Amino acid sequence: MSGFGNRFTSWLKKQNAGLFFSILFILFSIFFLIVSFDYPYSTKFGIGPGFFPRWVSILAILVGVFYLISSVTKDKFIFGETFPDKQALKSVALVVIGIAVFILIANTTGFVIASSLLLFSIFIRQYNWWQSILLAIVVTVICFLIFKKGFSVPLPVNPWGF
Amino acid sequence: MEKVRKSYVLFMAVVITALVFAGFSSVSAEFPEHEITIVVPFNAGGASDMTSRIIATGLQEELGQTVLVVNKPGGSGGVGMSEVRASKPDGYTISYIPVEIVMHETLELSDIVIEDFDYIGQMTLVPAALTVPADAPYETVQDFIDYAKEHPGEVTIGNSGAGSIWHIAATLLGEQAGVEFNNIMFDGAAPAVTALMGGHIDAVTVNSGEVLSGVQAGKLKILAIMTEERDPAMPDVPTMVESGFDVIIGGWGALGVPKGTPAEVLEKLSAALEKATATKEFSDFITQRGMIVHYSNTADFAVFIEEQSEFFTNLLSNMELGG
Amino acid sequence: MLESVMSLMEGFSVAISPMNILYCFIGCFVGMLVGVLPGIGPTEATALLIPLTFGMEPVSAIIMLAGIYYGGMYGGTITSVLINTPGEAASVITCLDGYPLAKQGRAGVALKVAAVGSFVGGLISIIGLALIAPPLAEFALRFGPTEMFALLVFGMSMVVGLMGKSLVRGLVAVFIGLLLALVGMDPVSGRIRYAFGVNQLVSGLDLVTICMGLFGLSEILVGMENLYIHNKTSSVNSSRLEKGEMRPTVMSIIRGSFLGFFMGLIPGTSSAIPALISYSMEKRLSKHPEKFGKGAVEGVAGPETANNSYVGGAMIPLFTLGIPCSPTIAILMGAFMMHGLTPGPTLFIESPIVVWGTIASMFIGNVILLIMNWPLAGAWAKVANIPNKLLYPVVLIIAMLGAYTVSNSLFEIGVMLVFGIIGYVLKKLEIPMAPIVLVYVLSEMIERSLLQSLKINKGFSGLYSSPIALGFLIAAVLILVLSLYAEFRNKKTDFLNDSDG
Repeated sequence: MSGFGNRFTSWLKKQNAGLFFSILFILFSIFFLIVSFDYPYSTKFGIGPGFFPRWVSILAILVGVFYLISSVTKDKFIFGETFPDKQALKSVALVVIGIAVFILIANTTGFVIASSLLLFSIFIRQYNWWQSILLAIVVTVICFLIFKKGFSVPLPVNPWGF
Repeated sequence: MEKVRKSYVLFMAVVITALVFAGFSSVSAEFPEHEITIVVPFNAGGASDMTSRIIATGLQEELGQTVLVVNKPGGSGGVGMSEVRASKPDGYTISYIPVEIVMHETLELSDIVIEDFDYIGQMTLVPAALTVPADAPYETVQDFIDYAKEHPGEVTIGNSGAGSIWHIAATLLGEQAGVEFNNIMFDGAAPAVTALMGGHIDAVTVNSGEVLSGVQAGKLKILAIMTEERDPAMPDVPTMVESGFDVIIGGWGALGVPKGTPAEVLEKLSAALEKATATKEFSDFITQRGMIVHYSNTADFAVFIEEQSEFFTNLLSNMELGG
Repeated sequence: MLESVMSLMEGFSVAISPMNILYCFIGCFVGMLVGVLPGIGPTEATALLIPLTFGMEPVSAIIMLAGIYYGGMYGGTITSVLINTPGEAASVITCLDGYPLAKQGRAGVALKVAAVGSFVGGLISIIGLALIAPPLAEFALRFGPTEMFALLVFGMSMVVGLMGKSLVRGLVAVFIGLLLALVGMDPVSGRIRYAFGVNQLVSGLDLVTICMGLFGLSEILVGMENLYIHNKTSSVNSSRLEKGEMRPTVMSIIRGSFLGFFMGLIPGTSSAIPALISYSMEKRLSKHPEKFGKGAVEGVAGPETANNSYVGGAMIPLFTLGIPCSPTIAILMGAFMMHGLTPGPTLFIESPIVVWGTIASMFIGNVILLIMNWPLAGAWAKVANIPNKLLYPVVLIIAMLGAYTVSNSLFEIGVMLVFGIIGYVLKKLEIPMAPIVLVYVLSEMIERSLLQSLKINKGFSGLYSSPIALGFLIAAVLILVLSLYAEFRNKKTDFLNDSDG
């Protein structure tokens, strides 16, 4: 880990996560407010589709500002205390990446292979390799049978049908 | 060990159920291989929903596959129809197509145009009726119009959504009679009728079938229907023309699939629809609910929908409703 | 009234024929199974069983379909309690205390209490249905758009004021829900909003996907942080109520029964609303409001009872006026019509056997569920004992499948992933997630009723000229003010008691 990386991490750990999130929330609301101007505020039928979004996003911005104030003054959520250590965050990120990979490959490899791979990647951290393979395949196949065969859900499949 | 045995039992239960379910799905190479879904773009309980549910049972018998009915209400039918338009053109996702489809473009309700679909065929004609609470002070359409003239812009009329056929029916009546109504949009005819029963609005211009149970319960009365002739099911109710207002307007119901559905699938569905609309159950059901059975096939309906599109586009631009 | 009782008895004689009990059982069983599997709801299950109902008597068919519905509701409760993943809006509330109970090894208690509550709620609403239906239905019609809007605002203020520790964080959650609900087709004019040309967004984000992400996936992500630590399921594993829990639980079930029944009468509500109001009410009335959210039995019992008795209440407008009050009732109405019966006032006269048979079978469905689940509750609770390292990956795959089923596309899994990450962050920042989902469900109704009310009354006058609406709005403001006050007061006591800061 480079020096800069370390410095960044330790800087981040002291920051107020609530403050970051409240700013994000305000930006999100402002975005909704800006887009709401694309929709007419009133039409010849009366109040238009822009009315509700306009007021909801204005109120949301106000709430965001209150949240910002309270996260600076009252309830502080410091990154380092709020979120777990790097090791734990890494294992969270791995699952997220695993699901993303599943979404990317499932249409080509079919559900059974994609799901087995995802499950294997999680199981392997706790079980030995043959247990992991067995568990991954058994769980996948049961799910496949229930959803695909039982409820006729058109799960993505490969040319061989699984 | 106890724990292991219990989870084993649980596991077996899941597997066995899965196998039982697997047994349900039959295997055949020809269309339809699995269940078909009809998307109704309105709330459950309305005329389009009722029609779709009864026709689904008929289609089911003809096609030998389960036919599901799913409600996707909202946006004068736009939500449900867009969803079907975006689905695979394989005949497994069917949309109930209401008359409103020809107005969506003109009224800027959604970007749906009639060319988005291939049509299996038409099923029904749906006449509109002017309905008011049973204790309302008016007995005829003339009374109602007089009242509206004394209270300009105050008489509230419920419809099943902006630009819905019932909304246009009310506007057309207003134009013909020279009064201005305050049109209130609901997400389907049933909620509008409920609001009418509760006295929150003054009238509705929805299909006579929708108000039937309210009329039977003694809570509502129909002032006139907007067809050319009186409905044999309600011989006492005059037509709008008899009452002195030249208003003839109504909806219809058809079934459509996304554009690009294979011709043989379309033919098969169309043939099944013809048989399903010809059954006694269907005609009893439709007539009882103040509608008229009217089957037309893919080709005839394609001509009809073009005409309707033209008729309503002209009507709407004359009424200055169109955008 | 005596007549109704006689008819109800007749209905029971139909419903307890061995075949009908069997159908009811099948319905409940299948319903429970699909309720446990996310993404597949009662609607899909009904469709699967429809081929079987051909050639059946209408009464038997409807009994089975009603069974699926009840079973499905209960199945949703099971997943809420065990893995903190509600399958539908009505069981979001159950997560709040059901899951903490499960963590304490008391999943059995939560499940049994839910089963008993559902049973009592069903019973009371059936009695109500038989005795006092018509005049109540009349009164309920007084809820027009204006009253509806006020009721929804009241409901929202309940969510904010009584859930979570901080008012402002609750409000943030509410507005996240309101903003997200804007995506998709506008309920009034049909205009597509905030879809940015993405086809899947046209019909809005799906509730099931959001639930799977915010509740299910985020829970799994938190679990992944320390998978190597064994779960600390306490050795208690009790499915008995503790001393002192009995009375509040019984009271919450009784209150929930009446609340649900009356809410069911109001057209256009959803079963999430009585559940929500019941939860808030129990928290208000409790002697230990601080236990809520940490495993209060009443927090499970009240809402579960309310959403069940809601169904009985919702049958009244259907039978007396032909109005389907909720989506579920609409499905039942479809079942009636498929068998050639028109719901409405004439149904009582033309086919009393069907009406009362159905009502009786709803009751029997609840009995069957109770019998099935009393012993099963313990077995289900064992699921909570499966080690996390095995349970979480399995739940993950099922949640992904559930999301996929929503629109049969991988896009939904992507949406779920995004909400999973959002949920993970919100959990860390202690922003409550239940309000997001509840408001998301109600938002469309809020917008529509507000716009209708403004148009009917040509302005805001309806909001203060209707006594019902005014009452709800005043109550809403009171709740917000009171909870703000309570928050400040608690802050002080927190500082006094908590030396750690």
